[in-house]
Amino acid sequence: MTHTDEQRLLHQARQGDETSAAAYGELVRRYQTAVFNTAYRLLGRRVEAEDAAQEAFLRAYQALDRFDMERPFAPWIKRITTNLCLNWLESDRVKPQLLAAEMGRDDEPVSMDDWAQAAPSPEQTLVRQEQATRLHEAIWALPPHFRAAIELRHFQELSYEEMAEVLERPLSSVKSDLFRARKLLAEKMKES
Amino acid sequence: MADFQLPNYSVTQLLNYMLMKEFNEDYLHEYLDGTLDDETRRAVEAHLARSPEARAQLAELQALFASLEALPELPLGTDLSVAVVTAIGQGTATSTTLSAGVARPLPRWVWGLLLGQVVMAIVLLGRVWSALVDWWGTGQAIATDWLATVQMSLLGWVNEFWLGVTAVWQQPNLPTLSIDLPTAQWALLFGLALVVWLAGNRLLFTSD
Repeated sequence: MTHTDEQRLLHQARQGDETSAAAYGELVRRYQTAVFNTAYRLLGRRVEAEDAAQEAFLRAYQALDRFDMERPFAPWIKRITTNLCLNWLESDRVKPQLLAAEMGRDDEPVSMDDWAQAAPSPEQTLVRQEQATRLHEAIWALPPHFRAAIELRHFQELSYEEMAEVLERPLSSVKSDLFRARKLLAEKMKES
Repeated sequence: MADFQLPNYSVTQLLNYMLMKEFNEDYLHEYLDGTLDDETRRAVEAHLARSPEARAQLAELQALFASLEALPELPLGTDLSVAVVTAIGQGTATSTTLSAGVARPLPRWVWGLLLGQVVMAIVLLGRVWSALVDWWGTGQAIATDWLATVQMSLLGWVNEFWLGVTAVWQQPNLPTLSIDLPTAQWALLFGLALVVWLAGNRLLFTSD
């Protein structure tokens, strides 16, 4: 989807007529995997991540009037998702996931088959699966603000200043969170 | 000796050199993020050239960065657009505060509880229906009597209570509350209380 196509859909979605929902549905289809993955990295549970992604899209639809149409939609919806997930984590609506063994059937983490679908070649599948699982578990073991710092910097590629704006925290705190989160992750990865 | 070259440095370079004497790992993070100014970056590079420990820390961080970058996206098992479009169509996304319940239906036990309450309310209201019709038929008189009975009972109880409190201040002898009402009117009172309870539950479950 080109930026022009995206803008056309956004304008259509904002009009509030009978075609709005369909146009917005097209945008949802385009970005739902990325938004779901953002939520999944933060929440650590598939079911909750799907719920969060869905709610994030609804909140974004509500706020479309305030969205600058010249900007790309993906970073905006991901930021909404990040804040939503952080709110859920802070309000204990979603319990942090520490160990896969603690989870029930509905909250199972990514299975090997899931990762296999995302892996580029069969030869690398096993190594990538193990590494991805370890890294995800290490991320989920971090406190929520550390997780958010990793998400915003490494997956959404925001600057320190942008991160501080999204998280509504002082720049020094955000940098401190990010550096400490990386250190913890590096130690975890080294241990395993 | 490396210190021998210091006089050739600019003031900023000298400051950076001194900064690196107390090397902080945070510089490595900023170095990898590309947020250092040229002078500090050069000072970090100089420190890296001198310190195997700093190089090991950098390599560790670089490995982490690579792992994060290589983290594959998990495929989404369901198409969220259907639920989102449906919610928009129902107008749920246009409310001032989007209820969290939009995306998540209430648990089944809550619906079971509500169903049970509705059934109980219907049964109880059915039970008191004839009394309700009778009461409606007799009209104002019975209502007045009923209210007067309740009022007198309450006033009597309050009066006795106050006398008890004032007579034996330390150990009040509390009277027993007794409202003399026919059975049907008790059932009517109970049915009305149940309706209030149901309405209260409805408000409770729909507020988030």
